[in-house]
Amino acid sequence: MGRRLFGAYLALFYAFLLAPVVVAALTSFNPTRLNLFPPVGLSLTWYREFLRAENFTHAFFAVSLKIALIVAVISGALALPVAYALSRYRFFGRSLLQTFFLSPMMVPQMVVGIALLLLFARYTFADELRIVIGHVIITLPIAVRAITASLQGTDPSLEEAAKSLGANPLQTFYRVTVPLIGSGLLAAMLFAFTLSFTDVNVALFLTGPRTTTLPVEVFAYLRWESTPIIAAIASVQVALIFAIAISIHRLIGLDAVLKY
Amino acid sequence: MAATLELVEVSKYYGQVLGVGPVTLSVEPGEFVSLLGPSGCGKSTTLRLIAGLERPTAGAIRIDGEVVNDLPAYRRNIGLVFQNYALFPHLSVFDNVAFGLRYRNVTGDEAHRRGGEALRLVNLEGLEDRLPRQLSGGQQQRVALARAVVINPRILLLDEPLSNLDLALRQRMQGEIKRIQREVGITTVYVTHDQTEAFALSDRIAVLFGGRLHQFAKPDELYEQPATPEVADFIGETNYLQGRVETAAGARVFVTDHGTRLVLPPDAGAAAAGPVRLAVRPHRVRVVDGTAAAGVNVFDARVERVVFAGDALRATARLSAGDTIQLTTHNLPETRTALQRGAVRVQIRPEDLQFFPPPAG
Amino acid sequence: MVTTALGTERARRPVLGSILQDRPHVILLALPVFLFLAFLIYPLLLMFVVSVRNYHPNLIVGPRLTLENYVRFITDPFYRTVLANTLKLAGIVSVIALLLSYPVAYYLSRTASRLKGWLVFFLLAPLMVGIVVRTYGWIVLMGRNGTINRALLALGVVDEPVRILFTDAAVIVGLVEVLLPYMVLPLVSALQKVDVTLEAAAATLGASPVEVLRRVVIPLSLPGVISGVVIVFTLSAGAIVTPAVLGGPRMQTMGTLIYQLMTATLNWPFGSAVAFILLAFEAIPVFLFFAIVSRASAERGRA
Repeated sequence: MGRRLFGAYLALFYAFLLAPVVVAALTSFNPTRLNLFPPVGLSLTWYREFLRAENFTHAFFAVSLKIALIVAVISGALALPVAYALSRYRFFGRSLLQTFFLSPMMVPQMVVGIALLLLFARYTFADELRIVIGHVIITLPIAVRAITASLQGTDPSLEEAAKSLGANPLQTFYRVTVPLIGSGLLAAMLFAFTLSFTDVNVALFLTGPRTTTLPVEVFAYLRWESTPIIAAIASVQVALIFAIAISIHRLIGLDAVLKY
Repeated sequence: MAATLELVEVSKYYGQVLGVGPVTLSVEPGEFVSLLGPSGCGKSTTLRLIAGLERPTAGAIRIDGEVVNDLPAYRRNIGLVFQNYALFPHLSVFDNVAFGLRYRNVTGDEAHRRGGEALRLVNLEGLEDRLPRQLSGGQQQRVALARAVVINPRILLLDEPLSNLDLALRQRMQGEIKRIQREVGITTVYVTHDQTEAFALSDRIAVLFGGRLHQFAKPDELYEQPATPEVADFIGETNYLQGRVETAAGARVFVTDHGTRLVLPPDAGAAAAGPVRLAVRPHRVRVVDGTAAAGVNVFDARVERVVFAGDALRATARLSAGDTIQLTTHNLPETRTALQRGAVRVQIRPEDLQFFPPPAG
Repeated sequence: MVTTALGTERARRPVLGSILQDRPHVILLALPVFLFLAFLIYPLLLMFVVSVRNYHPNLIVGPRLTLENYVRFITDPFYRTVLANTLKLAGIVSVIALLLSYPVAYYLSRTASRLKGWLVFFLLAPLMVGIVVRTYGWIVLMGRNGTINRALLALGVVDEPVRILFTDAAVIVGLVEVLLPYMVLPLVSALQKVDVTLEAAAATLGASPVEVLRRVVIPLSLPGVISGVVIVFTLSAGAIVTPAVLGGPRMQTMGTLIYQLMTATLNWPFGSAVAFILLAFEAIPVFLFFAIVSRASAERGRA
């Protein structure tokens, strides 16, 4: 009953969801200054423009890419022990700590940004470090979640087996646990990378003159004008992020990370 | 090499909840001991305490006389075979077996020699390079066993190792485990909920219920002299007769609530007086020839139900005074005819009776 | 006897070793907990302290303890209007997102289709692409020379381009699109927990598909509805980019107001107070929904 009707609805739903992403990326091939979709020609002008625009290339490569890589590493390194402790040990206050580490998801990102802005007004931190700290705070919950998901998928008796065979906790961790949850760890880091690379709400309050992240730079530009140079940037970003999304999906399934 | 193992008043609480204990038992060098009981009885917890995967709340665990309570699992040198085998999925069969050797500084050729030897012991030569998921359940079981014994552990622990195998394979592996245990001569503790498995393998069996140790004895003793009604119920079937012990004409007799009078063995139940429970195994209720001279405790009975169970016959009979009793006999033509006729004479010999206190409440 | 012997044994172990063995989680969690306290909890406390200070033109954060920032917001009709508009916007976005998402979530929770993996992927991938790119996509679609306008002109529906961008509708559409996945996900996970056999049971008892939905599926998926609405409401009430870009320079929401106060006006005490007021109002849908749920379950109890 109404199966075809529902199929049409599903298609429309996904078209609506994906339209701006697809449109943003394809508009980049326009030869004109106008943001036309479908594009009226096929040219790479705006990609050249992008590479010539020092403010955008700097924001892309020297700021956002660099910060996102650092955030991915730190977030993964911090999330691993947290996820391990919370899913392998039973102790007093465990569920409280669980909530504690997921709490940045409950606080609006803007509020995290403002609170850190006030902190950094009082204590001086290097410009890049400020953004890194903000991004680690907002990415940690999701990284913890990704690693927890893959820890829950592995049998704790494997670790006990290793211990009974003489491996101490550290040896057990890197010879058994890490190989088994490697995919979860990688997914967590890719996720942290993505969140950091695309964040505006926190970075808006923490960027300095030479540390404007790409989304903040694009946002500032978009408030007053828009040309297909943004489309060129968007399409590069979409390609990068879709590649990462597919990797995560293959590694552990996107839904495992974003489960509520 | 074989070690002794002693548990002295060992108990484990999870917060306020009793996991197991207090348990006291000692295992001789080379002995094969089973921990038997229904699920949740604390047998696996006991095993984990011995392995060092849990810390006891109170009491002492001694291996060769040394208290090991504070020795972490990885320093205890105990081989552990898990119910689900816990083979490392990312390592080959050989690397699984050699896993523990690395932490005993056995590497290179020596590791190869000993790993190969262990795999030969479990009849798995030639599968060194396979991954665990490429093996059958029985083969995985053997790898787990090889991995546990290759490190020359002081004690071998097995946690329901056969519960994931089908019946035929289970019986074959029972034999294998016993053979390997004998060959290695290792002190072994085996956890199971299957009494036939425990009986087939063990020198002694510890029966646990609700975290408490009810009896630790040889298999035949468990069967013949169960220490508690729970043990009697868990191991085989039992008839209970409610009643009281009375003294009539200088002799002590047991009178059931229905009025059946049973002569007691001379030594048994000396302490028992007043209300008690008397237990008798169904197959110790004998169907006797109606024409034979009457012995002690021979009763007329009406057969209410007969179940044909292959080589045995199970019947429910009501004694003339009104007590209902289960009996099991060999499936002999004359017994069958007698039971099917509906009226038999049964004998319960005094030496087959056992006393228990009446059930609480 | 035994326990005392053990007691002395235990005391002999080195302290670090005993922490490692008894409480390994302490070592694993120490650094992350410290970082969270230093860079999340402490800054939030600091933000509260700033919000109850006066504004000082030179120092920004003045020395005087005061509630004047909160009073100013509540007494000034302009700010009250901004708050009301923001809450209305967030409410509309939440309801639309819920209605659009529920059928899709139901389908995703029940289907065994081979496409399911990809449907989940395409639900989440846009989320990862980020808000700025998607907002730009909407500019291209909704602008004066945008795809929609050109389509309408070509079809002869309108004679000259209509204004789509810089309207409330543009902001609502943009926010709904951006936040849809946040609504679908909790709904799917709640619906997955609703046992399919319950639906079958209701059907065999004579309930029509609509009745099954109304009396079994929807009540049981209420926790998912609540968390979805709370998330979407919160995120749209605090949004900055979408209202600023799609709503145009004159659009004023709590998000854009706070952003302006913190980065342009540099009135941090007032900005912090406004942020706390927003946080307080974001809690409203939570209470509303819990009130509805508890009343519904109370009624069920009476019946």
